[in-house]
Amino acid sequence: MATNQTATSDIRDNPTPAFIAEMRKRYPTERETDELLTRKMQHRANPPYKRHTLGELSGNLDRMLKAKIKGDFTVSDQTWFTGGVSKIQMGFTLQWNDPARGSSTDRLVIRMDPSESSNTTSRPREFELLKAYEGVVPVPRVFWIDEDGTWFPEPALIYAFAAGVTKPKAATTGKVSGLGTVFGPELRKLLAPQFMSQLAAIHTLDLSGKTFTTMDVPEVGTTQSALWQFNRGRRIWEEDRGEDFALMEVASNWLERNMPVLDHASIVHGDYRSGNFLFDEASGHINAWLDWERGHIGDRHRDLAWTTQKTMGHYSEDGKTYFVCGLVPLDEFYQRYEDASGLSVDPDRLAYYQILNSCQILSSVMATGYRVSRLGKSHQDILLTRVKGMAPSVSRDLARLLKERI
Amino acid sequence: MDVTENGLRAAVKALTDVVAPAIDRNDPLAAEQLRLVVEYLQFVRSRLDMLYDRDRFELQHNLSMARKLNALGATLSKETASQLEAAISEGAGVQARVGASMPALKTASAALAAAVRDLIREAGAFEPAVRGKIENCVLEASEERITFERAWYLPLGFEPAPQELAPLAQILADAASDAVRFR
Repeated sequence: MATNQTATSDIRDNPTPAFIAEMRKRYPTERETDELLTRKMQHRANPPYKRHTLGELSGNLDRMLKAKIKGDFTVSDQTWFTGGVSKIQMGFTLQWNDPARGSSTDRLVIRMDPSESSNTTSRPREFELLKAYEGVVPVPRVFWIDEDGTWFPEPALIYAFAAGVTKPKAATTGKVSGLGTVFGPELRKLLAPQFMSQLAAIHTLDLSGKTFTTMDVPEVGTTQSALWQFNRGRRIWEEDRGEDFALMEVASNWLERNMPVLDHASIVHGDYRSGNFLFDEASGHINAWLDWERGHIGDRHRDLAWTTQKTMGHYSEDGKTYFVCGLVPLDEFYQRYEDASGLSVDPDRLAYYQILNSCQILSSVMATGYRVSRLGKSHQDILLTRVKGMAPSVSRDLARLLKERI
Repeated sequence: MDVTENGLRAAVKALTDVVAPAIDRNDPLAAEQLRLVVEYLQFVRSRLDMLYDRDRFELQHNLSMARKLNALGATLSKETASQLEAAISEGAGVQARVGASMPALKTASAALAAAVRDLIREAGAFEPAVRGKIENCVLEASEERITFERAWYLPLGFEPAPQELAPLAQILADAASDAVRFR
Protein backbone atom coordinates (compact mmCIF):
# COMPACT_ATOMS: atom_id res chain seq x y z
CA MET A 1 0.00 0.00 0.00
CA ALA A 2 1.06 3.60 -0.38
CA THR A 3 1.24 4.16 3.33
CA ASN A 4 4.99 3.74 3.49
CA GLN A 5 6.66 6.28 5.63
CA THR A 6 8.93 8.66 3.80
CA ALA A 7 12.53 7.57 3.49
CA THR A 8 13.91 10.43 5.53
CA SER A 9 11.58 10.07 8.48
CA ASP A 10 11.57 6.33 9.04
CA ILE A 11 13.23 5.59 12.36
CA ARG A 12 13.19 1.88 11.54
CA ASP A 13 15.98 2.37 9.01
CA ASN A 14 18.29 3.70 11.70
CA PRO A 15 16.73 2.96 15.08
CA THR A 16 17.81 4.93 18.10
CA PRO A 17 18.72 3.23 21.38
CA ALA A 18 15.50 4.69 22.80
CA PHE A 19 13.40 3.10 20.03
CA ILE A 20 15.10 -0.28 20.58
CA ALA A 21 14.60 -0.04 24.33
CA GLU A 22 10.93 0.82 23.83
CA MET A 23 10.38 -2.27 21.66
CA ARG A 24 12.03 -4.49 24.26
CA LYS A 25 9.94 -3.02 27.04
CA ARG A 26 6.67 -3.09 25.18
CA TYR A 27 6.97 -6.66 23.84
CA PRO A 28 8.70 -8.97 26.34
CA THR A 29 9.46 -12.39 24.88
CA GLU A 30 11.90 -15.27 25.22
CA ARG A 31 15.37 -14.28 26.36
CA GLU A 32 17.17 -15.44 23.22
CA THR A 33 14.54 -13.98 20.89
CA ASP A 34 14.93 -10.65 22.65
CA GLU A 35 18.71 -10.79 22.18
CA LEU A 36 18.41 -11.67 18.49
CA LEU A 37 15.90 -8.92 17.72
CA THR A 38 17.92 -6.39 19.69
CA ARG A 39 21.06 -7.34 17.76
CA LYS A 40 19.12 -7.05 14.50
CA MET A 41 18.07 -3.50 15.33
CA GLN A 42 21.52 -2.51 16.57
CA HIS A 43 23.03 -3.69 13.27
CA ARG A 44 20.32 -2.23 11.05
CA ALA A 45 22.16 0.93 10.07
CA ASN A 46 25.24 -1.08 9.03
CA PRO A 47 26.03 -1.25 5.30
CA PRO A 48 23.99 -3.46 2.95
CA TYR A 49 24.80 -7.14 2.51
CA LYS A 50 27.62 -7.77 0.06
CA ARG A 51 27.71 -11.11 -1.64
CA HIS A 52 30.40 -13.47 -0.40
CA THR A 53 32.28 -15.53 -2.96
CA LEU A 54 32.79 -19.27 -2.62
CA GLY A 55 36.46 -18.46 -2.08
CA GLU A 56 35.72 -16.11 0.80
CA LEU A 57 33.42 -18.57 2.54
CA SER A 58 35.96 -21.33 1.97
CA GLY A 59 38.56 -19.16 3.71
CA ASN A 60 36.22 -18.66 6.68
CA LEU A 61 35.59 -22.40 6.74
CA ASP A 62 39.28 -23.21 6.64
CA ARG A 63 39.96 -21.00 9.66
CA MET A 64 37.08 -22.54 11.59
CA LEU A 65 38.09 -26.12 10.83
CA LYS A 66 41.68 -25.41 11.90
CA ALA A 67 40.27 -24.43 15.28
CA LYS A 68 37.89 -27.39 15.48
CA ILE A 69 39.80 -30.31 13.95
CA LYS A 70 43.00 -31.89 15.21
CA GLY A 71 45.11 -33.00 12.27
CA ASP A 72 44.98 -32.50 8.53
CA PHE A 73 41.84 -32.05 6.50
CA THR A 74 40.88 -31.24 2.93
CA VAL A 75 37.90 -29.24 1.72
CA SER A 76 36.68 -29.67 -1.86
CA ASP A 77 33.63 -29.45 -4.16
CA GLN A 78 32.29 -26.18 -2.77
CA THR A 79 28.93 -25.31 -4.34
CA TRP A 80 26.06 -22.94 -3.65
CA PHE A 81 22.68 -24.37 -2.73
CA THR A 82 19.63 -22.64 -4.14
CA GLY A 83 16.18 -22.48 -2.60
CA GLY A 84 17.15 -20.93 0.71
CA VAL A 85 15.12 -17.80 1.34
CA SER A 86 16.39 -16.81 4.72
CA LYS A 87 19.85 -18.41 4.93
CA ILE A 88 22.94 -18.66 2.73
CA GLN A 89 23.94 -22.27 2.12
CA MET A 90 27.16 -23.72 0.70
CA GLY A 91 27.86 -27.42 0.21
CA PHE A 92 31.37 -28.91 0.48
CA THR A 93 33.18 -32.21 0.92
CA LEU A 94 35.46 -32.70 3.93
CA GLN A 95 38.16 -35.35 4.18
CA TRP A 96 39.34 -35.55 7.78
CA ASN A 97 40.09 -37.76 10.72
CA ASP A 98 36.92 -37.95 12.81
CA PRO A 99 37.87 -38.98 16.38
CA ALA A 100 34.77 -41.20 16.51
CA ARG A 101 35.02 -42.83 13.08
CA GLY A 102 38.62 -42.45 11.94
CA SER A 103 39.43 -41.38 8.41
CA SER A 104 36.20 -39.97 6.98
CA THR A 105 34.81 -38.23 3.92
CA ASP A 106 31.64 -36.21 4.56
CA ARG A 107 29.44 -34.08 2.35
CA LEU A 108 28.47 -31.12 4.54
CA VAL A 109 26.49 -27.89 4.39
CA ILE A 110 27.26 -24.46 5.84
CA ARG A 111 24.11 -22.58 6.80
CA MET A 112 24.80 -18.92 7.50
CA ASP A 113 22.73 -15.80 8.13
CA PRO A 114 22.88 -12.88 5.71
CA SER A 115 23.30 -9.40 7.26
CA GLU A 116 19.60 -9.40 8.05
CA SER A 117 17.25 -12.21 7.27
CA SER A 118 13.59 -12.54 6.41
CA ASN A 119 13.40 -14.48 9.65
CA THR A 120 15.60 -13.45 12.58
CA THR A 121 16.45 -16.77 14.18
CA SER A 122 19.26 -18.48 16.03
CA ARG A 123 21.83 -20.93 14.71
CA PRO A 124 22.65 -22.11 18.26
CA ARG A 125 18.96 -22.96 18.76
CA GLU A 126 18.89 -24.84 15.48
CA PHE A 127 22.03 -26.69 16.59
CA GLU A 128 20.44 -27.65 19.92
CA LEU A 129 17.24 -28.83 18.29
CA LEU A 130 19.00 -30.96 15.70
CA LYS A 131 21.09 -32.54 18.48
CA ALA A 132 17.98 -33.17 20.59
CA TYR A 133 16.21 -35.03 17.78
CA GLU A 134 19.10 -37.24 16.64
CA GLY A 135 17.65 -40.75 16.69
CA VAL A 136 14.10 -39.50 17.33
CA VAL A 137 13.16 -38.25 13.88
CA PRO A 138 15.35 -38.11 10.78
CA VAL A 139 17.61 -35.04 11.03
CA PRO A 140 21.01 -34.26 9.55
CA ARG A 141 23.94 -34.82 11.90
CA VAL A 142 25.25 -31.49 13.18
CA PHE A 143 29.00 -31.04 13.29
CA TRP A 144 30.02 -27.54 14.34
CA ILE A 145 28.63 -24.11 15.05
CA ASP A 146 30.03 -20.60 14.82
CA GLU A 147 27.70 -19.05 17.38
CA ASP A 148 28.66 -15.42 17.08
CA GLY A 149 30.47 -15.04 13.77
CA THR A 150 33.97 -15.75 15.10
CA TRP A 151 35.08 -17.30 11.83
CA PHE A 152 32.25 -16.49 9.41
CA PRO A 153 30.80 -13.02 8.70
CA GLU A 154 27.62 -14.02 10.54
CA PRO A 155 26.62 -16.94 12.81
CA ALA A 156 26.79 -20.26 10.94
CA LEU A 157 26.00 -23.92 11.37
CA ILE A 158 27.64 -26.92 9.71
CA TYR A 159 25.67 -30.11 9.27
CA ALA A 160 25.60 -33.23 7.10
CA PHE A 161 24.18 -33.00 3.62
CA ALA A 162 20.99 -35.04 3.46
CA ALA A 163 20.15 -36.76 0.21
CA GLY A 164 16.66 -36.68 -1.25
CA VAL A 165 14.08 -34.46 -2.88
CA THR A 166 11.41 -32.15 -1.51
CA LYS A 167 8.92 -32.95 -4.27
CA PRO A 168 8.57 -35.66 -6.89
CA LYS A 169 10.79 -35.17 -9.91
CA ALA A 170 8.37 -37.08 -12.08
CA ALA A 171 5.18 -35.29 -13.07
CA THR A 172 2.11 -36.44 -11.19
CA THR A 173 -1.06 -37.19 -13.06
CA GLY A 174 -4.43 -35.54 -12.58
CA LYS A 175 -5.27 -31.88 -12.22
CA VAL A 176 -5.50 -30.60 -8.67
CA SER A 177 -6.09 -27.13 -7.29
CA GLY A 178 -3.94 -25.42 -4.68
CA LEU A 179 -0.41 -24.19 -4.20
CA GLY A 180 1.03 -27.06 -2.13
CA THR A 181 3.28 -29.89 -3.26
CA VAL A 182 1.51 -32.61 -5.25
CA PHE A 183 2.90 -36.02 -4.30
CA GLY A 184 0.32 -38.21 -6.00
CA PRO A 185 -1.50 -41.25 -4.54
CA GLU A 186 1.46 -43.67 -4.33
CA LEU A 187 3.85 -41.36 -2.54
CA ARG A 188 1.06 -40.07 -0.32
CA LYS A 189 0.51 -43.61 0.91
CA LEU A 190 4.17 -43.98 1.81
CA LEU A 191 4.90 -40.52 3.19
CA ALA A 192 1.74 -39.72 5.14
CA PRO A 193 2.27 -42.22 8.00
CA GLN A 194 5.82 -40.96 8.52
CA PHE A 195 4.64 -37.37 8.34
CA MET A 196 2.12 -37.97 11.11
CA SER A 197 4.26 -40.15 13.38
CA GLN A 198 7.24 -37.81 13.15
CA LEU A 199 5.13 -34.78 14.03
CA ALA A 200 3.86 -36.71 17.05
CA ALA A 201 7.42 -37.71 17.98
CA ILE A 202 8.53 -34.08 17.90
CA HIS A 203 5.70 -32.97 20.16
CA THR A 204 6.04 -35.80 22.65
CA LEU A 205 9.79 -35.64 23.20
CA ASP A 206 10.32 -35.90 26.94
CA LEU A 207 11.72 -32.57 28.08
CA SER A 208 12.17 -33.53 31.72
CA GLY A 209 15.74 -34.77 31.38
CA LYS A 210 16.86 -32.17 28.88
CA THR A 211 18.51 -28.82 29.34
CA PHE A 212 18.44 -26.24 26.59
CA THR A 213 20.56 -23.14 26.75
CA THR A 214 18.76 -21.31 23.94
CA MET A 215 15.08 -21.94 24.71
CA ASP A 216 13.03 -20.79 27.67
CA VAL A 217 10.30 -23.11 28.96
CA PRO A 218 6.90 -21.46 29.30
CA GLU A 219 4.89 -22.28 32.36
CA VAL A 220 2.09 -24.82 31.88
CA GLY A 221 -1.26 -23.57 33.18
CA THR A 222 -0.52 -19.98 32.16
CA THR A 223 -0.73 -17.89 28.97
CA GLN A 224 3.03 -17.28 28.93
CA SER A 225 3.64 -19.43 25.85
CA ALA A 226 1.06 -17.56 23.75
CA LEU A 227 2.27 -14.23 25.11
CA TRP A 228 5.88 -14.86 24.07
CA GLN A 229 4.87 -15.84 20.55
CA PHE A 230 2.38 -12.98 20.24
CA ASN A 231 4.96 -10.46 21.44
CA ARG A 232 7.61 -11.85 19.13
CA GLY A 233 5.37 -11.35 16.09
CA ARG A 234 4.12 -7.99 17.27
CA ARG A 235 7.62 -6.72 17.96
CA ILE A 236 8.83 -7.77 14.51
CA TRP A 237 5.88 -5.96 12.94
CA GLU A 238 6.67 -2.81 14.88
CA GLU A 239 10.40 -2.96 14.19
CA ASP A 240 10.20 -3.68 10.48
CA ARG A 241 6.97 -2.36 8.99
CA GLY A 242 6.89 0.33 6.34
CA GLU A 243 3.15 0.80 6.45
CA ASP A 244 0.16 0.61 8.74
CA PHE A 245 -2.42 -2.10 8.17
CA ALA A 246 -5.74 -1.87 10.00
CA LEU A 247 -6.43 -5.61 9.75
CA MET A 248 -3.24 -6.39 11.67
CA GLU A 249 -4.30 -4.03 14.43
CA VAL A 250 -7.68 -5.76 14.78
CA ALA A 251 -5.94 -9.14 14.84
CA SER A 252 -3.53 -7.94 17.53
CA ASN A 253 -6.40 -6.72 19.70
CA TRP A 254 -8.10 -10.10 19.37
CA LEU A 255 -4.93 -12.10 20.02
CA GLU A 256 -4.11 -10.06 23.10
CA ARG A 257 -7.48 -10.67 24.73
CA ASN A 258 -7.83 -14.36 23.81
CA MET A 259 -4.51 -15.93 24.78
CA PRO A 260 -4.93 -19.64 25.50
CA VAL A 261 -3.53 -21.36 28.56
CA LEU A 262 -0.78 -23.89 27.83
CA ASP A 263 -1.83 -27.45 28.73
CA HIS A 264 1.38 -29.25 27.73
CA ALA A 265 4.82 -27.92 26.83
CA SER A 266 6.11 -29.42 23.58
CA ILE A 267 8.97 -28.65 21.30
CA VAL A 268 7.38 -26.97 18.30
CA HIS A 269 9.19 -27.41 14.98
CA GLY A 270 7.87 -24.10 13.70
CA ASP A 271 7.81 -24.89 9.98
CA TYR A 272 6.54 -28.47 9.75
CA ARG A 273 5.32 -28.86 6.16
CA SER A 274 6.06 -30.39 2.79
CA GLY A 275 9.11 -28.71 1.32
CA ASN A 276 10.95 -28.99 4.62
CA PHE A 277 11.60 -32.71 4.54
CA LEU A 278 13.79 -34.61 2.11
CA PHE A 279 12.69 -38.03 0.95
CA ASP A 280 13.91 -40.83 -1.28
CA GLU A 281 11.61 -40.90 -4.26
CA ALA A 282 12.02 -44.61 -4.95
CA SER A 283 11.30 -45.88 -1.44
CA GLY A 284 9.19 -43.00 -0.13
CA HIS A 285 11.41 -42.84 2.97
CA ILE A 286 11.82 -39.48 4.73
CA ASN A 287 15.57 -38.91 5.10
CA ALA A 288 15.68 -35.62 7.00
CA TRP A 289 13.63 -32.83 8.54
CA LEU A 290 15.18 -29.43 7.91
CA ASP A 291 14.60 -25.78 8.81
CA TRP A 292 14.24 -25.92 12.57
CA GLU A 293 15.00 -22.24 12.91
CA ARG A 294 11.49 -21.30 14.07
CA GLY A 295 11.57 -24.00 16.74
CA HIS A 296 10.65 -23.23 20.33
CA ILE A 297 9.11 -24.78 23.41
CA GLY A 298 5.43 -24.04 23.50
CA ASP A 299 2.00 -25.05 22.27
CA ARG A 300 1.69 -27.92 19.76
CA HIS A 301 -1.30 -26.13 18.24
CA ARG A 302 1.16 -23.63 16.78
CA ASP A 303 2.54 -26.44 14.56
CA LEU A 304 -0.87 -27.95 13.85
CA ALA A 305 -2.23 -24.60 12.69
CA TRP A 306 0.86 -23.99 10.56
CA THR A 307 0.87 -27.39 8.91
CA THR A 308 -2.82 -27.25 8.00
CA GLN A 309 -2.67 -23.82 6.33
CA LYS A 310 -4.55 -23.81 3.06
CA THR A 311 -1.59 -22.54 1.03
CA MET A 312 0.45 -25.61 1.94
CA GLY A 313 -1.84 -28.29 0.59
CA HIS A 314 -4.19 -28.94 -2.29
CA TYR A 315 -7.53 -30.43 -3.22
CA SER A 316 -7.85 -33.87 -4.77
CA GLU A 317 -8.46 -34.50 -8.43
CA ASP A 318 -12.24 -34.55 -7.85
CA GLY A 319 -12.09 -31.38 -5.72
CA LYS A 320 -13.70 -33.10 -2.74
CA THR A 321 -10.76 -33.85 -0.45
CA TYR A 322 -8.27 -31.33 0.90
CA PHE A 323 -4.87 -32.86 1.54
CA VAL A 324 -2.87 -31.26 4.34
CA CYS A 325 0.59 -30.55 2.88
CA GLY A 326 -0.48 -32.70 -0.07
CA LEU A 327 -0.37 -35.77 2.16
CA VAL A 328 -3.20 -36.32 4.64
CA PRO A 329 -6.94 -35.67 4.17
CA LEU A 330 -7.92 -32.78 6.45
CA ASP A 331 -10.88 -34.66 7.94
CA GLU A 332 -8.47 -37.40 9.10
CA PHE A 333 -5.54 -35.22 10.08
CA TYR A 334 -6.43 -34.28 13.67
CA GLN A 335 -7.68 -37.73 14.64
CA ARG A 336 -4.55 -39.33 13.25
CA TYR A 337 -2.46 -36.82 15.18
CA GLU A 338 -4.29 -37.55 18.42
CA ASP A 339 -3.89 -41.29 17.87
CA ALA A 340 -0.18 -40.96 17.14
CA SER A 341 0.70 -38.50 19.91
CA GLY A 342 -1.80 -39.19 22.68
CA LEU A 343 -2.27 -35.41 22.83
CA SER A 344 -5.61 -33.72 22.26
CA VAL A 345 -6.45 -31.15 19.60
CA ASP A 346 -8.43 -28.21 20.96
CA PRO A 347 -10.35 -26.25 18.28
CA ASP A 348 -10.12 -22.98 20.23
CA ARG A 349 -6.38 -23.20 20.68
CA LEU A 350 -6.08 -24.21 17.03
CA ALA A 351 -8.05 -21.14 15.96
CA TYR A 352 -5.87 -18.89 18.12
CA TYR A 353 -2.71 -20.13 16.46
CA GLN A 354 -4.27 -19.96 12.99
CA ILE A 355 -4.77 -16.25 13.59
CA LEU A 356 -1.35 -15.79 15.18
CA ASN A 357 0.34 -17.66 12.32
CA SER A 358 -1.42 -15.48 9.74
CA CYS A 359 -0.12 -12.42 11.55
CA GLN A 360 3.39 -13.83 11.68
CA ILE A 361 3.34 -14.51 7.96
CA LEU A 362 2.07 -10.99 7.29
CA SER A 363 4.85 -9.64 9.49
CA SER A 364 7.39 -11.55 7.41
CA VAL A 365 6.07 -10.72 3.94
CA MET A 366 4.81 -7.18 4.57
CA ALA A 367 7.15 -5.85 7.24
CA THR A 368 10.44 -7.75 7.32
CA GLY A 369 10.49 -8.41 3.57
CA TYR A 370 9.98 -4.72 2.96
CA ARG A 371 12.65 -3.57 5.40
CA VAL A 372 15.33 -6.10 4.43
CA SER A 373 14.95 -5.49 0.69
CA ARG A 374 14.70 -1.72 1.14
CA LEU A 375 18.03 -1.69 2.97
CA GLY A 376 19.63 -4.38 0.78
CA LYS A 377 20.38 -6.62 3.72
CA SER A 378 20.13 -10.12 2.29
CA HIS A 379 21.12 -12.42 -0.56
CA GLN A 380 17.44 -12.67 -1.54
CA ASP A 381 16.22 -9.07 -1.63
CA ILE A 382 14.43 -9.56 -4.93
CA LEU A 383 12.59 -12.60 -3.59
CA LEU A 384 11.65 -10.76 -0.39
CA THR A 385 10.14 -8.02 -2.54
CA ARG A 386 8.18 -10.57 -4.50
CA VAL A 387 6.68 -12.34 -1.47
CA LYS A 388 4.61 -9.23 -0.74
CA GLY A 389 2.35 -10.93 -3.26
CA MET A 390 1.42 -13.50 -0.60
CA ALA A 391 -0.05 -10.84 1.68
CA PRO A 392 -3.53 -10.52 0.14
CA SER A 393 -4.41 -14.22 0.27
CA VAL A 394 -3.11 -14.49 3.85
CA SER A 395 -5.04 -11.32 4.74
CA ARG A 396 -8.20 -12.80 3.29
CA ASP A 397 -7.83 -15.93 5.42
CA LEU A 398 -7.09 -13.80 8.47
CA ALA A 399 -10.15 -11.61 7.91
CA ARG A 400 -12.34 -14.71 7.57
CA LEU A 401 -11.01 -16.19 10.80
CA LEU A 402 -11.55 -12.95 12.68
CA LYS A 403 -15.08 -12.47 11.33
CA GLU A 404 -16.06 -15.79 12.86
CA ARG A 405 -14.89 -14.61 16.28
CA ILE A 406 -15.52 -10.87 16.61
CA MET B 1 6.64 10.62 -24.70
CA ASP B 2 7.56 8.38 -21.78
CA VAL B 3 9.49 5.27 -22.81
CA THR B 4 9.72 3.48 -19.47
CA GLU B 5 7.63 0.55 -20.68
CA ASN B 6 9.92 0.18 -23.68
CA GLY B 7 12.92 0.38 -21.38
CA LEU B 8 11.64 -2.39 -19.18
CA ARG B 9 10.91 -4.55 -22.21
CA ALA B 10 14.46 -3.95 -23.47
CA ALA B 11 15.94 -4.74 -20.05
CA VAL B 12 14.11 -8.07 -19.92
CA LYS B 13 15.25 -8.90 -23.43
CA ALA B 14 18.88 -8.07 -22.67
CA LEU B 15 18.85 -10.08 -19.47
CA THR B 16 17.19 -13.05 -21.15
CA ASP B 17 19.08 -13.06 -24.45
CA VAL B 18 22.53 -11.89 -23.42
CA VAL B 19 23.08 -12.18 -19.69
CA ALA B 20 21.34 -15.50 -18.99
CA PRO B 21 23.48 -17.58 -21.39
CA ALA B 22 26.64 -16.01 -19.98
CA ILE B 23 25.96 -17.06 -16.39
CA ASP B 24 28.38 -19.57 -14.95
CA ARG B 25 26.68 -22.98 -14.77
CA ASN B 26 28.37 -23.51 -11.44
CA ASP B 27 26.58 -20.51 -9.96
CA PRO B 28 22.95 -21.59 -9.57
CA LEU B 29 22.29 -18.66 -7.22
CA ALA B 30 23.08 -16.22 -10.01
CA ALA B 31 20.73 -18.03 -12.39
CA GLU B 32 18.00 -18.04 -9.75
CA GLN B 33 18.43 -14.32 -9.06
CA LEU B 34 18.31 -13.51 -12.76
CA ARG B 35 15.04 -15.40 -13.19
CA LEU B 36 13.53 -13.54 -10.24
CA VAL B 37 14.71 -10.18 -11.58
CA VAL B 38 13.29 -10.84 -15.04
CA GLU B 39 9.95 -11.92 -13.58
CA TYR B 40 9.79 -8.86 -11.36
CA LEU B 41 10.55 -6.51 -14.22
CA GLN B 42 7.79 -8.16 -16.23
CA PHE B 43 5.44 -7.69 -13.29
CA VAL B 44 6.33 -4.00 -13.00
CA ARG B 45 5.81 -3.59 -16.73
CA SER B 46 2.34 -5.07 -16.46
CA ARG B 47 1.44 -2.58 -13.70
CA LEU B 48 3.27 0.50 -14.96
CA ASP B 49 0.23 2.25 -16.42
CA MET B 50 -1.75 1.73 -13.22
CA LEU B 51 0.66 3.04 -10.59
CA TYR B 52 -1.10 6.40 -10.36
CA ASP B 53 -4.51 4.74 -10.22
CA ARG B 54 -3.19 2.56 -7.43
CA ASP B 55 -2.22 5.54 -5.30
CA ARG B 56 -5.65 7.04 -5.96
CA PHE B 57 -7.29 3.76 -4.97
CA GLU B 58 -5.33 3.52 -1.73
CA LEU B 59 -6.24 7.04 -0.71
CA GLN B 60 -9.89 6.40 -1.49
CA HIS B 61 -9.78 3.15 0.51
CA ASN B 62 -8.08 4.68 3.55
CA LEU B 63 -10.35 7.71 3.46
CA SER B 64 -13.45 5.58 3.20
CA MET B 65 -12.42 3.39 6.14
CA ALA B 66 -11.55 6.40 8.28
CA ARG B 67 -14.89 8.05 7.55
CA LYS B 68 -16.81 4.89 8.38
CA LEU B 69 -14.98 4.55 11.69
CA ASN B 70 -15.48 8.21 12.49
CA ALA B 71 -19.20 7.87 11.80
CA LEU B 72 -19.51 5.19 14.50
CA GLY B 73 -19.22 8.02 17.01
CA ALA B 74 -17.07 6.18 19.55
CA THR B 75 -15.72 8.31 22.38
CA LEU B 76 -12.07 8.69 21.48
CA SER B 77 -9.27 10.45 23.30
CA LYS B 78 -8.89 14.06 22.26
CA GLU B 79 -5.59 13.32 20.57
CA THR B 80 -6.87 10.37 18.53
CA ALA B 81 -10.08 12.16 17.55
CA SER B 82 -8.24 15.25 16.31
CA GLN B 83 -5.66 13.12 14.47
CA LEU B 84 -8.46 11.26 12.71
CA GLU B 85 -10.38 14.39 11.78
CA ALA B 86 -7.26 16.11 10.48
CA ALA B 87 -6.32 13.08 8.38
CA ILE B 88 -9.84 12.86 6.94
CA SER B 89 -9.87 16.55 6.11
CA GLU B 90 -6.45 16.44 4.46
CA GLY B 91 -7.24 13.17 2.66
CA ALA B 92 -10.51 14.51 1.29
CA GLY B 93 -8.74 17.62 0.04
CA VAL B 94 -6.05 15.64 -1.77
CA GLN B 95 -8.60 13.25 -3.21
CA ALA B 96 -10.63 16.13 -4.63
CA ARG B 97 -7.59 17.75 -6.18
CA VAL B 98 -7.34 17.01 -9.90
CA GLY B 99 -3.79 16.01 -10.70
CA ALA B 100 -2.70 15.52 -7.09
CA SER B 101 0.87 14.21 -7.17
CA MET B 102 1.76 10.65 -6.23
CA PRO B 103 3.77 11.78 -3.16
CA ALA B 104 0.77 13.85 -2.01
CA LEU B 105 -1.53 10.85 -2.44
CA LYS B 106 0.88 8.58 -0.54
CA THR B 107 1.36 11.06 2.30
CA ALA B 108 -2.37 11.54 2.77
CA SER B 109 -2.91 7.75 2.70
CA ALA B 110 -0.20 7.21 5.31
CA ALA B 111 -1.73 9.82 7.63
CA LEU B 112 -5.15 8.20 7.36
CA ALA B 113 -3.76 4.70 7.98
CA ALA B 114 -1.82 5.94 11.02
CA ALA B 115 -4.93 7.62 12.44
CA VAL B 116 -6.94 4.43 11.95
CA ARG B 117 -4.16 2.42 13.59
CA ASP B 118 -4.27 4.60 16.70
CA LEU B 119 -8.04 4.42 16.82
CA ILE B 120 -8.04 0.61 16.70
CA ARG B 121 -5.35 0.40 19.37
CA GLU B 122 -7.37 2.67 21.60
CA ALA B 123 -10.49 0.61 20.92
CA GLY B 124 -8.74 -2.42 22.44
CA ALA B 125 -9.65 -0.99 25.84
CA PHE B 126 -13.25 -0.06 24.96
CA GLU B 127 -16.26 -1.94 26.25
CA PRO B 128 -16.99 -4.99 24.05
CA ALA B 129 -20.02 -3.67 22.14
CA VAL B 130 -18.27 -0.50 20.93
CA ARG B 131 -15.01 -2.32 20.29
CA GLY B 132 -16.90 -4.96 18.29
CA LYS B 133 -18.48 -2.31 16.07
CA ILE B 134 -15.11 -0.76 15.36
CA GLU B 135 -13.37 -4.05 14.66
CA ASN B 136 -16.19 -5.33 12.46
CA CYS B 137 -16.17 -2.07 10.54
CA VAL B 138 -12.46 -2.57 9.80
CA LEU B 139 -13.01 -6.18 8.74
CA GLU B 140 -15.78 -5.17 6.35
CA ALA B 141 -13.85 -2.25 4.93
CA SER B 142 -10.68 -4.33 4.49
CA GLU B 143 -12.31 -6.55 1.89
CA GLU B 144 -11.94 -3.84 -0.73
CA ARG B 145 -8.19 -3.59 -0.22
CA ILE B 146 -7.71 -7.35 -0.06
CA THR B 147 -9.61 -7.90 -3.32
CA PHE B 148 -7.65 -5.14 -5.02
CA GLU B 149 -4.30 -6.51 -3.86
CA ARG B 150 -5.19 -10.06 -4.87
CA ALA B 151 -5.76 -8.75 -8.39
CA TRP B 152 -2.70 -6.48 -8.30
CA TYR B 153 -0.27 -9.26 -7.34
CA LEU B 154 -1.93 -11.96 -9.44
CA PRO B 155 0.98 -12.28 -11.92
CA LEU B 156 3.33 -13.26 -9.07
CA GLY B 157 1.55 -16.59 -8.69
CA PHE B 158 0.56 -16.67 -5.01
CA GLU B 159 -3.20 -16.39 -5.49
CA PRO B 160 -5.00 -19.67 -4.71
CA ALA B 161 -8.30 -18.70 -6.37
CA PRO B 162 -7.58 -16.48 -9.39
CA GLN B 163 -10.87 -17.43 -11.03
CA GLU B 164 -12.74 -15.46 -8.35
CA LEU B 165 -11.17 -12.15 -9.31
CA ALA B 166 -12.51 -9.44 -11.59
CA PRO B 167 -9.99 -7.79 -13.93
CA LEU B 168 -7.77 -5.26 -12.15
CA ALA B 169 -8.88 -2.41 -14.39
CA GLN B 170 -12.49 -3.08 -13.46
CA ILE B 171 -11.70 -3.12 -9.73
CA LEU B 172 -9.91 0.21 -10.06
CA ALA B 173 -12.73 1.71 -12.13
CA ASP B 174 -15.34 0.58 -9.59
CA ALA B 175 -13.33 2.10 -6.75
CA ALA B 176 -12.93 5.36 -8.68
CA SER B 177 -16.66 5.64 -9.28
CA ASP B 178 -17.29 4.97 -5.57
CA ALA B 179 -14.88 7.77 -4.73
CA VAL B 180 -16.86 10.19 -6.88
CA ARG B 181 -20.18 8.99 -5.46
CA PHE B 182 -19.13 9.41 -1.81
CA ARG B 183 -17.12 12.61 -2.19
